[in-house]
Amino acid sequence: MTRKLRFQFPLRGGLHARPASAIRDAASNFRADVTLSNHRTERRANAKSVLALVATLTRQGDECTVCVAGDDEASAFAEMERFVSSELPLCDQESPPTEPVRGAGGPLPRVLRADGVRLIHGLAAGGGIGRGPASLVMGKTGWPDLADRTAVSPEEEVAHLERAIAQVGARLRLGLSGAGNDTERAITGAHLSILEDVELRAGAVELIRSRAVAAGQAVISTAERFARVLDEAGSALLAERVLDLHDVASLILQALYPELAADECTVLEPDGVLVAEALSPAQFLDLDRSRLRGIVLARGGVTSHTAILARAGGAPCVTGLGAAIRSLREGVDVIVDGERGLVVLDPAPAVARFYTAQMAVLLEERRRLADVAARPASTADGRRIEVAANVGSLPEVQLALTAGADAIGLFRTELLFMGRAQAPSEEEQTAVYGKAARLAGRRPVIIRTLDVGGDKPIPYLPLPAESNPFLGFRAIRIYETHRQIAGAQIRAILRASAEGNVKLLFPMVSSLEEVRSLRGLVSEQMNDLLGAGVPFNREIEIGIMIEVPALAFIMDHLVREVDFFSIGSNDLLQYFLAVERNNEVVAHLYDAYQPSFLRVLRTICETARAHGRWIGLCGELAADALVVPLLIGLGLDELSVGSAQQGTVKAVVESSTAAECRELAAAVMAAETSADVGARLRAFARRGADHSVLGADLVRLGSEARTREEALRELVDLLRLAGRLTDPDLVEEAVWRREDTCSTAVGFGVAVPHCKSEGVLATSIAVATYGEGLSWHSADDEPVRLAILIAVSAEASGDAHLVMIAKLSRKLMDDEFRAALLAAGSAADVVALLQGVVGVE
Amino acid sequence: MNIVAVTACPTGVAHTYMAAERLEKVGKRLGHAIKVETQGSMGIENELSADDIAQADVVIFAAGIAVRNVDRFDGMRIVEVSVQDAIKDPERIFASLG
Repeated sequence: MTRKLRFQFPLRGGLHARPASAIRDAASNFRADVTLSNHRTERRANAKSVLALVATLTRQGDECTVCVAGDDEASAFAEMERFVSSELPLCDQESPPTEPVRGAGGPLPRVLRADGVRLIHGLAAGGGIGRGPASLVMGKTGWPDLADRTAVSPEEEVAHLERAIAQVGARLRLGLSGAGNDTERAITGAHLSILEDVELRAGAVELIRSRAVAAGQAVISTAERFARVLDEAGSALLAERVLDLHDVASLILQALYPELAADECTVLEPDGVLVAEALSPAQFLDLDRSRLRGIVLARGGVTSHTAILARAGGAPCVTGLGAAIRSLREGVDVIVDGERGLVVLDPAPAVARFYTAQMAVLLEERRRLADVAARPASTADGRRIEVAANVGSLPEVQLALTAGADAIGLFRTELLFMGRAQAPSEEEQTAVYGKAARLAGRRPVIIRTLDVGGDKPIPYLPLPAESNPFLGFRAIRIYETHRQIAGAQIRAILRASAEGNVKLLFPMVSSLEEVRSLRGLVSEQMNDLLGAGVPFNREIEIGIMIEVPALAFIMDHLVREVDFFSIGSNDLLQYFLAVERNNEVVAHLYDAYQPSFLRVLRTICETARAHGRWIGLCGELAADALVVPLLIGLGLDELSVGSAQQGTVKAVVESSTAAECRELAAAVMAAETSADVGARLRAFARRGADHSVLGADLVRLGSEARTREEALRELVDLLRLAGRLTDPDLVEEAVWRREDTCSTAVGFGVAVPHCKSEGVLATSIAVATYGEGLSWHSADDEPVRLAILIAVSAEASGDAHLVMIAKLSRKLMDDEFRAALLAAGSAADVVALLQGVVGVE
Repeated sequence: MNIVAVTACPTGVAHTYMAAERLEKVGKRLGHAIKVETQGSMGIENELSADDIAQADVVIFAAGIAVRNVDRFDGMRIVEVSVQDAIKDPERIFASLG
């Protein structure tokens, strides 16, 4: 018997996704068939399918009937009755907010805080600043070409489809538990509900069975059928579901055919800013990067491999935008600020001018560092520190060597294995590794063996889907099971050792037994090669990554079994502090300045050094200019960083002595907190820079600044380029805080902006003159023709500088002195005049 | 006139000293005896003694923040001006002292 319930649909927004989910949840608790019919549209839907319910195009006031039939229909009907009368009318809350709430790093420059500036906050993944029209990869209506995928048999296709849906489901559920905020959770939840929709699955299975199509084609056709219905409804709420539907179908297709993933986004508009949900490292490398102006991603942390690659390739990158990424439309003018983690939409002229100036500053910084980057680095007292590069492909090897890297400190090999149907052959790998060795010449190339796990699905390397792949079956742990693949790679690396200075590195080691077993594996391959008469370097150095904290306590055993160590600081930190590095919610806990972490580094380095073992560090930590002296002090032989950071790191090495770095390391080990560590590192960076407050490089005569905003920023950037600041935005903010209390224009056409800030490394004075004068927003609005920025370090010791500044301030009240400053013909003249006041330093 | 003054601005780096310089220079030019205490980032300098204060006819505060040790001036005639005014137009301040 069929039970029927007739009612008028109560919700103003109609039957959109949220009430549909609620109906689905209510109906799915029962075995009985539950349907909903709309008498106006004459559509009938399975009430256990959100998509089908939405496709009834039900509006407020429509006459509807719920029919229930099946073995538990009595209880099902009672529940549906209760639901329709008491719960359904409450299902129409506000839709979730589209802007994720996220703490921006530091204060924003003033020009970006003006009314009408459209900003989206994300995570700063570096790579500088870029501008161009948005080029959307996500939400496109195009589907991959599946013409060559023919159905094997309906049964196999259905099974294939079920596996793919299960795989995507597992991944989405994982994402749901790690989602950064409510918006992300809502979207992932919506994706999951579409993925598991009974009608979507039934529709696809039906097509496979009735028309003998391949699983992929069935998914596309079914998704399109539902998308057409949703489009017809013409509602904004449902239009978003079309995007979701497309996203979910794409995820299923990628799970069905992993090798498709890379094809999707190879075409980029010229001068484009790539906008995507997420981007795999393989997809990034496939991009035509000559026309790429920046990358904006919804998901992924700043230490994800794609972000690291983007930085290395000099592509400005902002990630972790979450759902806010959906406010970017195709072709809109976008600035990607990878330094601050900002995406600026449709920049107004003032904002565009600000960013043009910022790009010039970054370019100038890079130019100045290029010379330093090109030569091998030693400390001021002669200790050689190898500054090497982390790479993941041959083009990157070339990029790194051109940038001046002393070595390839880490050649990740995962990319060679990803996005393809079978493993690269030994021959293919030998060719790649051999080419890298030849490119590097006498410079070392450290090649790391395959480091994959359940987080990076590879079709020919079936690994179980795990809830926590980073603690699971990955890296060397899979070598025993996949001996063929591991053996071929080791042989390829050994063969490449005949062509250059190649070293072999194993990832994710956690015990001595593993080291011995790996050495056994290498010996086997060596014997094979010897037997076959294939040349290789019998003395090839074999090292291990230190990523698992346990190794810190058996270093004395390990030194007898391996030739060298490479600390993988990113993973070591996440394992040591139990903080997942790509999880935005706990990103603030991923803190390399924690004294506990620095102490474990010390333990590792001390034991390695005591036994004369070479030890390097590859990871983001080595690229932090403040930390480099500490790492030198701990006794590291090598620092391996991105190609773009060679100059920065080498400049720090050259300006430090090994002796003072050792003292620093000893002092930092006594620090109790992360903030304490930061203060000590900054104090060290400040030393030596303290002696001079003036410099010809701090003077700009005839500046073209048009407004007080531009003038202040220009003065701050003069200090930045001279290396006198740690945080230019913090300094700009401090200057403005003073300026806001009362304009610092003091009359006579002079302004004396000033600040005391933690962002100032060395107390300094910057000077600019403005031909016609510009408004400083003082009470009398007299045009300012001379501005003197006094930036005082908050951590400076002693009053010497303050005495000088007090003297200078008094002298500025002298008419003749001001006239002389304005008449100065060169920066050197200005410095000489100022020195006459503050005394020769 | 016998004048004592205190200058102090929020950051205490620059304007405190500019104001002091202007008050001293212009005051002397106008024939006053003037001593100016600065309360800046280096603390109190050129501190006014009890004698200085006792002999003064008037006190000028050119301050953007609260003046420290203000009870020293109890019962005296105090003229409060902004630091900016002390820098830009000290002549007007002295004229207003009468």
